[in-house]
Amino acid sequence: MNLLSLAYKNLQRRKLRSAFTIAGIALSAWVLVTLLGFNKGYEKSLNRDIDNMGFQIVLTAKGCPYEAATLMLKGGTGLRYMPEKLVEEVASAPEVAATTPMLMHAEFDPYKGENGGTVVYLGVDGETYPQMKAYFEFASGQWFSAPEAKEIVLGYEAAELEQREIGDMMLLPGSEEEFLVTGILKRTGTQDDGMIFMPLRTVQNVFNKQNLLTMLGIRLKQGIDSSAFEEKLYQLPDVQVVSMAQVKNTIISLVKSARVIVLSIAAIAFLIAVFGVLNTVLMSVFERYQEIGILKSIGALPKQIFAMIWIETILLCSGGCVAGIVFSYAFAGISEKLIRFFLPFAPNGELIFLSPDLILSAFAAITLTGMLGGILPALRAAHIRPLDAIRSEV
Amino acid sequence: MTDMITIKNLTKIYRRGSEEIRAVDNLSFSVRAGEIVSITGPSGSGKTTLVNILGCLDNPTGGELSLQGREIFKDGLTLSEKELTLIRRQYFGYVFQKFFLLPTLTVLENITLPFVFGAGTNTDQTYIRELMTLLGIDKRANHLPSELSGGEMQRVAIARALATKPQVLIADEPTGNLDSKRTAEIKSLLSELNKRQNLTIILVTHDPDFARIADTVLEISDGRILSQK
Repeated sequence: MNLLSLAYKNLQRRKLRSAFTIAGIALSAWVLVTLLGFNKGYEKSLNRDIDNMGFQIVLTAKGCPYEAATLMLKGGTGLRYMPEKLVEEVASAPEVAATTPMLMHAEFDPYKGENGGTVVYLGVDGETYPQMKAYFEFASGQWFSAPEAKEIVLGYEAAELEQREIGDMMLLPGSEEEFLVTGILKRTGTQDDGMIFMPLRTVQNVFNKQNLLTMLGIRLKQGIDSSAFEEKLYQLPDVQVVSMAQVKNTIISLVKSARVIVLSIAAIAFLIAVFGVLNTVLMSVFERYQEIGILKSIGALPKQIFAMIWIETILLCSGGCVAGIVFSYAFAGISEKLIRFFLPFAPNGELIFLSPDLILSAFAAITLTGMLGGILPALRAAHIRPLDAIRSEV
Repeated sequence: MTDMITIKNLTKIYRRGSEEIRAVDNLSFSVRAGEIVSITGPSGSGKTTLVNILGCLDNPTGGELSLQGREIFKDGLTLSEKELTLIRRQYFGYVFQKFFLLPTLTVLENITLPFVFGAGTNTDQTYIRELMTLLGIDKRANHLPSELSGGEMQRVAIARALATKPQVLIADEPTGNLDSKRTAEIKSLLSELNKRQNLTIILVTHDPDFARIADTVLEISDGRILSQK
């Protein structure tokens, strides 16, 4: 037997109390680790989503910048339009390497799901868009055969949702015409997976949006100062300039504001749990007042009693922390679903990223804080005088 | 026999408000190695205070105490808490009226508990087994205290006190919680241990029968020695 096993056996004395204390620490560790993982995962996924867009700047019709950002990342209704002639004007600028016009159209499909739903179509230029999205790979098929072809390319998830294969015909809501599925993309882990792509001209014709665009993606030449070019674009009438860096910063600053509040709540919950540990260990010291006195009379030094009580605190905190981390892993899927449900925008991919360094940092932080909380009861125990303890009636 | 413990003009004064209580009043005597000293007297006579000072669990207010010639207390000066702990580890084993066994530890774990804190050099398993056999608790090694009778628990407490082979056993009313049969058992056990191990035993008791096994009987009243036989 040694101090560690003695401390462990001491905790077994009141199993229910120890279990509740560990549960308190586990819950707060769970919240803390999940939130830290969310912070990391969200930023990582958002960065990847934005980097995968293939262009640094997007022009949209003038409106709310947040709406524009959401539109670009997720698709949406209530779209604003800008004239197509803008493409030539922007493309001719010396800073521009390439442009790609896009027209997004949302149409209500009464046959989607049980009560119908909105289907989003993205009209893209078959020449320029694939160049911007160089990472796209086809699971089967290819891009459109002609600029006005009545053809569709489906993202991976869209193909699964619509249950379509190459060669299938699709009827668009609000149109009598059928369209041929010519390509199905491989999974990219971005919002493109859920997209239904059609030739730009076809979308303009089918949905009566001739010569209109919702977005113009712009890729700049190497070494061009993005901010300076954005200033130039602001001179264009009735357009909103949205840079990817701007979108990223806007969303991340919004998430950071929310994170400060949520982490503060988690920190308070954690502090409450630590005070719970402190209270549990302190109560246990008071209950064992005589016993600790006897240990001192049989040769225990104050530092050994301190160590024994401190080990009890560390066991409680580390045990709770490990349980919390296990919960974080086990329930990461459910936590992610909940977060996606409550957040207005969440990027694709892993939202909660639990890396080893994050786990180690959280474990160290929780255990160290617990150790700090354990100092008081350990000191109280170390200073018990054997005679006072033996005489007492506790 | 050499002197194990010597006290000179030992005094312990408690203050309760303006009242001064002399629990031990100018006592002087010696305890020889291998001697059994029984301290008797009415409640509140200062027996426990005296035995606690003799066992280095309490400090006197004045006077001197030496252990095998080493000065422990002298005129209000004492060793540090750490030094006193080391002295207690080296010289003493304690048995109290309450057994003070740790409820989550087995009999064997309770007995070897002093070794966890570095008392004694090594756990001498053969000696511990012999001790348990002598005390009649060898078959209870893996039982928890809650599974033992009062007499068995006190025997475990005695085994714990003797596990580190101390030179002096301090026993404060060791049979106070036991019936007459168990009391007789403990009494003969202490006598046996004294003979076998040349163990010095200082015991506080109300039981006049203990006088039969004691070499010296000190009767205390109001902190003073009334008689010494």
